[in-house]
Amino acid sequence: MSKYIRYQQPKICDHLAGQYVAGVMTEKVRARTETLAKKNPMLAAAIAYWSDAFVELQEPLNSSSMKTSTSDQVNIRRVWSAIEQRISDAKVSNALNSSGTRSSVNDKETESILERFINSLFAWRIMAGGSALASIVMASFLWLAIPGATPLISGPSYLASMSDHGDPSIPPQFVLSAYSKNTSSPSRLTLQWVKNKKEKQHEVLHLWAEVKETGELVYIGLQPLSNGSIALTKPLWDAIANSSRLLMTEDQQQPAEDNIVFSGLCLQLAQWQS
Amino acid sequence: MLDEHWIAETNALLYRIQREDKLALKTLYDMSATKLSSLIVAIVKDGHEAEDVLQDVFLGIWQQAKKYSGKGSAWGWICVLARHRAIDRLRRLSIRQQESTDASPELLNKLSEEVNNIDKHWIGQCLSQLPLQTQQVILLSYINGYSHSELSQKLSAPLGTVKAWIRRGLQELKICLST
Repeated sequence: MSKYIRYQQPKICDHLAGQYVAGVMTEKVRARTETLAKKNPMLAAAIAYWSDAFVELQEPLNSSSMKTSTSDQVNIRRVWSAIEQRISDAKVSNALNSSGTRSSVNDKETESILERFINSLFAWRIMAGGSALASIVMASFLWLAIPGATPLISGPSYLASMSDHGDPSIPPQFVLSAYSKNTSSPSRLTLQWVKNKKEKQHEVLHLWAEVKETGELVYIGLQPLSNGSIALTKPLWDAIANSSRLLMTEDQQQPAEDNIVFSGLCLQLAQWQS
Repeated sequence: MLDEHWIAETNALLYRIQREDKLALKTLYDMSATKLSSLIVAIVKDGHEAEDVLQDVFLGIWQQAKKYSGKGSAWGWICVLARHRAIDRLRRLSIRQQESTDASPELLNKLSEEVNNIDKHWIGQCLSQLPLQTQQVILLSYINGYSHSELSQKLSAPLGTVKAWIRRGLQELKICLST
C-alpha cells in the first residue's frame, strides 16, 4: 500500500492526529504530520477534532488550587511589550527585504484594480465637474451591477469613500466597506487604500458613525490604517447601517473641526444590489 | 470551563489576526495570556522560560494565523500551538532529567479529580473510565509534554508498551467521546 493511500485511512489519520495533539511526537514527526495535514483534509479534520476534545483537559490548570508559584512569575505585561517590539522589528525587516510588497497576490490584484478603477472615476469626476464622492459611489453601483460580471469584492452592504477632512475636492484616500456576516465569517469592516500610502502619519485612528436621523456620533472603535478587516459586533453593525457619514479622529474626543482626519458619506449598497 | 462565547470570540479574533489586525492580537493576548501561561508553565516549569515561550506563541499566532484552516475552534488551534512551542523549548533545554516534582502522582490525581468534578466535562469523564496507567500516560503527555521515550523512562516501562497504552487510550477515548 502506498504511503499516500495509507494516510487516507480514517484509523491512521485518527491515530496520527491523537498523537499529534497529545504531544508525544518528536518535532520532526510533528512537522511531517503538519505537512501531511495540508494535503489531507481527513487528517486535518482529525487534528481539529482532537485539539477541541483535549482543550478542556487543561482548564483545571487555571483553577486557583492548581496555580503554582511559577505561574505567578510570568509577567504578562512585560511579555506583551516584547511581543510588540518583535512584531515591529519584523515589520521593518520585511519592509526592507521586500520593499513593502504584499504577500497576497489576490489582494495585490484587487488593490491594483481598485486603484485604477477609482483613478478613472476621479478623472471622470473632473470632466463632469461633479463631486468625487458622488462619482465613486455611482460608478461603484454601476460596476457591481454589470450582469454576469464577477464582483471585485462580493457584496459590501455599506461603503464610504474616505477623504482628508472629508473634503470632496481631494481624491479619496481609502474605502471602508461593511460586509454582513455569512457562513464563513462574521460581519466585518474592510479598509482598502486607493494607493499605497508611503507616508502614513497614523497607524490607527478612532472611527465614528454619524447617525442619519439625529446627527448623534457613535464611537465604533480603533481602526488600524492598514488594508484589512475588523470584525463588527451587532451594535457596531447597526451603528454603521444607520449612519450618514463615517469619521475618523486622532483621539477619542468627539469629532470636531480640529481632530477629524478623514471622513466620508456612508452609502447603503445591499438594498440597491437586491 | 470554556463557554461558547469564548470560542466564538477567539474565532473572530483569529479571523481578524489573519488580516493583520494588531488590535485583535492585543485583545486575544489580554483575554488568553493567563490561561496560556498556565498551560506553558505546566510543561516548562520555569517562569522565565514560560515568558519566552508565551512570546513565541503570540509571534507564532501573528505570523501563522493564516495556517489556521477554520477546521475546529481557533482556541483549540492556539492551545496546540502553545503546547508544541513549550514542548520544543523543554526538549531543547533538556531539563527534564533534573525535574523530580513535575507530574507527581498528587498533581495527576488532583487534575483528574478536578477534571471529573466539572459538570459536563465529557473528556474528563471518558478519561476517568480508562485504566489508571493509561490515564497517567495521556495526562503526562498532554499536560506535561512528555514524549514516548520520556514516558518510558519515567514509568520504567518498555517503549513499545508506552506506545500501546497511548494508542489504546486514545482509541478508547474516541469511542467514549463519540457515544
